Amino acid sequence: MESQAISMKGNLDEQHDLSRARAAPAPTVSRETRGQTVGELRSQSARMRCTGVNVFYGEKHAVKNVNIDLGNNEVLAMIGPSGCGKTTFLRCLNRMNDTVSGCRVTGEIVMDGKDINARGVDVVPLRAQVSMVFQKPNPFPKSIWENVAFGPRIHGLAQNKVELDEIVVNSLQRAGLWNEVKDRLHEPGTGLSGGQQQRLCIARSIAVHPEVILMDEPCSALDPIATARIEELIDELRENYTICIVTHSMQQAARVSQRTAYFHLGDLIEVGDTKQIFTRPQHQLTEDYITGRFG
Amino acid sequence: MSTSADYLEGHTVRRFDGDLTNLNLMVLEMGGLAVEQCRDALAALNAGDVVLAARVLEREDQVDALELELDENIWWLVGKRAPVGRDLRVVVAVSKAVTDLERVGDEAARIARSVKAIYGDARERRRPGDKLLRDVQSMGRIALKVLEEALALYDNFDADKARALIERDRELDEEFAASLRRVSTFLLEDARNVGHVVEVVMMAKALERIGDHARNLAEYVVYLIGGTDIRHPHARAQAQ
Repeated sequence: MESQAISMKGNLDEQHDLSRARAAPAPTVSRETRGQTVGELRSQSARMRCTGVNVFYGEKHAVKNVNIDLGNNEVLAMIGPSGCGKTTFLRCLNRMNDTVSGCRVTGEIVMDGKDINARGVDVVPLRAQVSMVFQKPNPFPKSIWENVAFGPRIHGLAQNKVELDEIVVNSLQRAGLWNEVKDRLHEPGTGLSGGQQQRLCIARSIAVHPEVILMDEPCSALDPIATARIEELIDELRENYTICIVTHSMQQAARVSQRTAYFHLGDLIEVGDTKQIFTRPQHQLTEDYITGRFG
Repeated sequence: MSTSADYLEGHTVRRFDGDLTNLNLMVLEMGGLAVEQCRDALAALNAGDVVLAARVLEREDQVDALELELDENIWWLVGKRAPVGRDLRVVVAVSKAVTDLERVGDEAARIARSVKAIYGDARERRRPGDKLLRDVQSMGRIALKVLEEALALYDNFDADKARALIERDRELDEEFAASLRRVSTFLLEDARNVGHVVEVVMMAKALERIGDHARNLAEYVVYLIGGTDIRHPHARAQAQ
């Protein structure tokens, strides 16, 4: 059973202290997983397939040989303590790390049969295809309408104003914001509440017809009601998109995702069905983290 | 050998350790009371002691009160800590154990009521023969031991012992079936035994149920430790 669960080897370094795992009074499964990522790394319907992904910031090895699939119409949550590499890995998925000086990414991230890191790949359409929602809502200092229309316009997705209007309305509707802003489309986006701004940013992402939406702690600056609305939205968006979300809230990961990945010191320790990860994780480090026994 | 403390502690938030440890201690306290109830009910049966049987019935409320208190603590812990992983399994196991222990208390009271029925007006009624009570006394010894061992599992969280104990519940089930066959012969011998036979059958059934509850307690420990639900294997096989 266990050997089936370990579907692919990762590179959990020798430096990791698994003594806690061995000392655990009653491990749920064998913790003899040194050098391996535990769980189902591959998906039947992979939208993106990552193989041997490493990220270096100068000498620092921030993400170590990560292998994982992002499945079609699934929400993958990435959890782990600060500095574990989850955001760095997320940023690899649309080459946002290209903008960081001294950052080097190796390995393969395949989408539609092509490696997104291959020479000659244009990052502009890539970032439309794999869009990103950030921790802090960051609307442009423009009107609500302009915020959403900006992407489609520069990507040439609309032939005329009518088509652009259609995209704006559709995106705002999908982001669950239309009813709240339909009468003030030409007011500044920055005048919206934090939760509304974040949904505006999601509408902006959707407007360029992405296939994958990356979310980096999208609710960390929001109150519980605004958070609930975003979570509801994530659930709806899953019908049409693949979503990968980084979150520090374990409850949020449990609520919104179908699969969860746990990162620790740059290693992908465990990937699995979210229900399994939060009820009976296989790796001691995962359990220590989710139960608050870490560190 | 590990103890429950090894399993419940180690949180960054130390109060969480305290919350879980407190829940487990309350289960041990409630279980201790349930065991005492069974022990006294059986001692009352062995000695024909209606005063002791009455004391068992008086204490029934104490077990119920602990159930209420534990349930409230469990709900608050779930709301406050949102447990996951093995903490969640501990809370689920404890929550289910509470229900079983309360029912063990009910079964002990059931036996005590039978003791009162048999010996309550001894001067007017025939006392049952030793042979008639032999089965239920023997079942009582097994049930009490199994229950004590099941409760000890909540002190050491030992999955191997839990699995071994589950096997031993079969012994009690077989003993109950054999007992039913034997007591029916007493009816054939003398129809005036019918009142006592009915009480003996009810006590045997109560003891068989105590064995079932002990097995449940052991199954929860197996789940708590490894996350494996070993209940109802036939239903599980069918579902798959």
